[in-house]
This record gives sequence, structure tokens and C-alpha cells, in this order.
Amino acid sequence: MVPVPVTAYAAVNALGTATRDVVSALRAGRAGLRPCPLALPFEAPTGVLPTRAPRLPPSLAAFDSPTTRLAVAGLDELLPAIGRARARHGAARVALVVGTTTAGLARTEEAHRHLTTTGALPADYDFHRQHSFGGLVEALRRMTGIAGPAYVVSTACSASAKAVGAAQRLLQAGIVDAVVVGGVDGLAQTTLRGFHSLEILSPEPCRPLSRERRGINIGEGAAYLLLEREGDAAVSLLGVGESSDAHHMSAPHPEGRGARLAMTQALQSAGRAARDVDYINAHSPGTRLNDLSEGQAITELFGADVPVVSTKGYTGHLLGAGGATEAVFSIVAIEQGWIPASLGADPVDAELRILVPTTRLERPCRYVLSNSFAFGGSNVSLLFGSAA
Amino acid sequence: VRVCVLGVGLWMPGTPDIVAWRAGAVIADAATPPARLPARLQRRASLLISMAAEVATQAAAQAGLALSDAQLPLVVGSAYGELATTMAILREVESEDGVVSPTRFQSSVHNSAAGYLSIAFGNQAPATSIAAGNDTVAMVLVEAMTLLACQGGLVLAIAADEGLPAALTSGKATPLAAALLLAAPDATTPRAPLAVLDDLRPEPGIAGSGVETDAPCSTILPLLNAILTAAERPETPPQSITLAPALHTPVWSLSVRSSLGSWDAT
Repeated sequence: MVPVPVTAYAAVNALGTATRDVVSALRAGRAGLRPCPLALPFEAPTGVLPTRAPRLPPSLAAFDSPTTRLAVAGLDELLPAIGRARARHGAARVALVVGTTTAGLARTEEAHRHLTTTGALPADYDFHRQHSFGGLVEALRRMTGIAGPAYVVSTACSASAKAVGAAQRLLQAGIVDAVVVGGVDGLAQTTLRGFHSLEILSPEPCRPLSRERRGINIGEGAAYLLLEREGDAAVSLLGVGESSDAHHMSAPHPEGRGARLAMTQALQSAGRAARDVDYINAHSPGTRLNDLSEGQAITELFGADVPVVSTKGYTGHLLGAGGATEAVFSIVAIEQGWIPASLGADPVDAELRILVPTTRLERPCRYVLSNSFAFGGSNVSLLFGSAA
Repeated sequence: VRVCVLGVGLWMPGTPDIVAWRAGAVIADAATPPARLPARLQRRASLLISMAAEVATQAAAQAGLALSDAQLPLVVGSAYGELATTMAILREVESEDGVVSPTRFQSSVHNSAAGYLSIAFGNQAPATSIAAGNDTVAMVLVEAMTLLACQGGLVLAIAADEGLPAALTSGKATPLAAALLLAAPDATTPRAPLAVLDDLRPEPGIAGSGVETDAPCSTILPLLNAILTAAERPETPPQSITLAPALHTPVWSLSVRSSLGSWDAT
């Protein structure tokens, strides 16, 4: 595929409410996990924004939900760059593709509880604008003035990485000249309780890739990339690989069949070899099953010498926002020449035959691979590289 | 971007396929979709998943393909996703013990239908799941047509929604699922295409389509009709179809024409 310049990016999550703060916390090795603000009958450290996302402006108030507030807060930083892209290409030649799993689910949980206790929905509850994915799309479209294709990709925890794949194709097929692509997810009772029922929610801060891991933490956040057909950028999207496990709804294929396929295709589409990759941002949310499956696929393809890091120990698992957030982390590694410590990984699980740095590595990175896997056996691998 | 249609599928309660819909027939014993999945998956399948499996099977059969033999990229569009499962979880969250069923939770994701189909038919090709309110059908076509433009071959595209929950909205919607088995113009296909789709684009000067349509996936019905008309009567001139609900401004449109004869030259 033709390299796609990343002309701007932004991320908000437990590490900060501005991209600069997020990156400096990642560099400093500082976790953003806090007690969960939702009322839950179990312990669940959670990646919560340091300060709550602000209310929506009056023009978007009808679309209000916790997730849409996060989506708008995260996109705010990119508005000047989006405005320039709109002016350069025309609003109809800019697309919007957003990965999410929850959209307005937390708002609907609150409305449904209101219905159960009082017999009526809240007066301002609006199913189409606040619950459905279409409401989130419409709010972001109004905020940005984008008039090209606009949609949500919702493939559980690979959603925003899948969205990046969709964005690349929209550019390659000549449908548009620029794409605002990203992901967002807020906290919801359904997700916290659901992962708890699956017995993979950790009662302590998560320890991905460690032999002492006890499961995952959930996090809230939003992240976006501006991809353009042409433009000044230090980093480009070079390759995309996607596959299905065709194995099980919630468990990864034990030998990482789909993961290996996605990583292989990402390298092939970029015309790069496994030995070119300087660093792998693993999906690794903190479960043993994922680590064994992903670890095996990585060892088979890359051997045991490439640094492999999970950043879930900083932010928690951002679900639909994870792929885009970790794309930002991968881009920063290339731009700034450092690989973050895999927080919480020490002592590393020796069963994994991979190299896991437990302190930050200062070293130039030319090519970085980022994995996202999900329920339904959905696998995505993205390859970013120095544009120079 | 130009693509060929190899097969179509349709299911609504009482309307088990596209033939019944075009005849205006109501089939009383078609209240639920036929079981198309292996028993262990079918047992846990929601209406959305069962409908998707049925229309996928119909479209593949018309194209002369078996789903279990084809590694088909999947695009599943749904404005609302697994609504019945989501409603059941909302009630579980409010129950005394507040315990959410793990099986229900893992089947509540928007990509459940895509996941079930890939598992049922051993399909390791990429599968995606999207949503876009009123533009859901149009965006399914955008996603499927760009996939074909970039990677060639075949794509199975599905648009499906369950009925709306009375507890959350006064809107009414009939459950509906439709499928299009699409191919790149140069793909090798077992049978001749039914029709050609072309020129998918937004109507100029109109941005945004509003958000309040109750059954956005039903906007695919005129498209299915146009595809079959082109297949049956190749002399029909290219038909322009708007992918928009009746009460809203058209936003996305495309042209449908026969895959045979003089229209091919354009």
C-alpha cells in the first residue's frame, strides 16, 4: 500500500486531558489508574480521566452522553488541523471513522434505572441521539463540519484499529483525501460487570505480560489520527493487516492463528520484513490466555529480540479507543525515539519467549507494529514508520 | 468505484425472502429465521445473528457459493446492534445481585453477527461491523466497495436491525436483514452477476441526514428491487436509487444497471 502520512494526532485518557500530558506521563512511567467512579460491588482500578470531560456545548447538548463528552473533549485539540484539511480538500472529501463499543450505553443505563425507579424515562433522554452510534457520528460531524462518509466501526476491542484500516482504504480507493479516524469509549456498568462475570477483571492495577498478572482494568478515553493523502508528517501508516480467528467469541485462538495472520499481512502490505520492526505495541490487556496466544504468534514471526510492550498498565483497556490510543503511542515512539516501559510487567512471565522492557528504552524506532484483538476473534495489526 | 452484485438476501418476520417481499406475500410460518448455524451457536444466537446468517446463506446460494467454502470478507452494518441482548443486560444490572451473564455480555457486542458467522463457517477473512444511523446502508456500501476497490475479490455485505425496545423509544421498527454478495469487476465468479452498482455518492450540498429514523436498514429495499429488475430486464436503463428513509432528505445515492449489454460501455 501507499504510505499514508499522519498529519496530526490527539489522545486523552487516564494519563491526561491533553496529548502532551498523556505522552509525558507515558514517558515518565506513571500509571493513570484510579478507583472506579461507578458504584460496583467489587474492586476495579480503572483508567479514569484526571478531570471529567466537560459538558457539551449547547449546539450539541441534545447528543449528551458520557462517551460523547469524551469523544468531543478528545477531538477538540485536532479542530484546527481538521479545519485546515477541510479547507484544503473540501468538506465532502473528508471522512470520519470512529471506533467505539459503548457509544451512549452509560446514558441508557442511567435512563433505564430512572425508568425502573420512577416509571418514566428522563425528560431529556433521546434514544436516537444519545444511545445509538448514529448519534455519536452526527455529533462529531456537526462539531467538525465533515461532509464525506461518516460512520462508527464497532468490532469490540479492535474497533478503532479496524477504523484505521477503513480510513486507509477510503484514501486508497480515492473516495476522500483526508480521514479523521479514531476511537472513544466511556465507562459503563455493563462493561465493568460483564468483564467481572467473565472473571478477567483484575482487583488490582493490571500487570500485562507479568507472571503475577490477575486480569484487566477498564479505562476511558478517546484518540484520533488525521490521515491525509499527502502532507508533512514525521510518521506514516505503512501497513494494515486484518483477520478473523474463526475460533471463539471471547477466547483467542490458543496458538494465535488470527494474530499471526494479521501481523503477517501488515508487514506484507507495507513491503517490510519481520526483522525491520523495532518495537511491538502488544494488545496484551492482562489475561494469561491473550499473552500466551499473542506471545506465541510474536515469537514465531519475530523471534525473541524485539521489545514487546503493553501500555494497558498506564491507561487500562480502552476497548474501542484502544487501537487509536496505542497508534498514537506507536507514532510517538518513532517521532521521539523511546519505547515506554511495560508497566507492571516485572517479573515478566518466563513462559513468554519475548523481550519485555520493564524500564524505558531510549532508542531510535523506525518501524513500530501495534496489535489490537477483540471479541468475535477480530484481529488488527497496524505498522507505522518514519516518513523520512 | 464499480462493483457487481452476485446475490441478494432478505428476511423480515413473515417475509422469508426477496421473492415474497416483491410479491407482497405474508408467509405465516416465517415468524423466525431458519436455523443456519451449528447447533451450539444457534442456541445462543440473537434474532440479529439468526437473520444475518439467513440472508448470508440466501445471497451465497444465489451466487452459487457455499459459505463454508468461501473465505469472504464480511461487512455487517446495523444501526442499533444487539438491542434485545443489551436490554436483558440492563435488567440484569438492576437486579438484586447485579450479575451480568458472561455469555450474554460477550454476545452483546456489535460484531456478534460477524463473529458468529466467521466461527460458523470457518471464515478467517477480515470481518467488520459498522453503524451510521440513517446512513447505515450507504456506509455498508462505502465500506464494501472500498474493500473491493483495494483488495478485489468478493465481499459479503449485510445490513440488519432488530425491532426497537418500547421501554426506550416510541419508535417502531420491523426487524429486517438484507445481504448483498458483491464482487470486484475483474473477480472470478461462479455465475454471471445480477447487476452492476456504480457512482455511490452523497447528493451535493446536503450535509447530515438527521438522526430519527426508526428502521434505517429498510432503506435497502428499493436497492434490492432495482438489482432484481436489472437482472430480469437487462434493457432497463440505469436506475438511480437514493439510500435514504422516506421522511428524510436523500443523502447518498447510487446507480444500478444490468451487467449485460449496452450499459456496460458507459
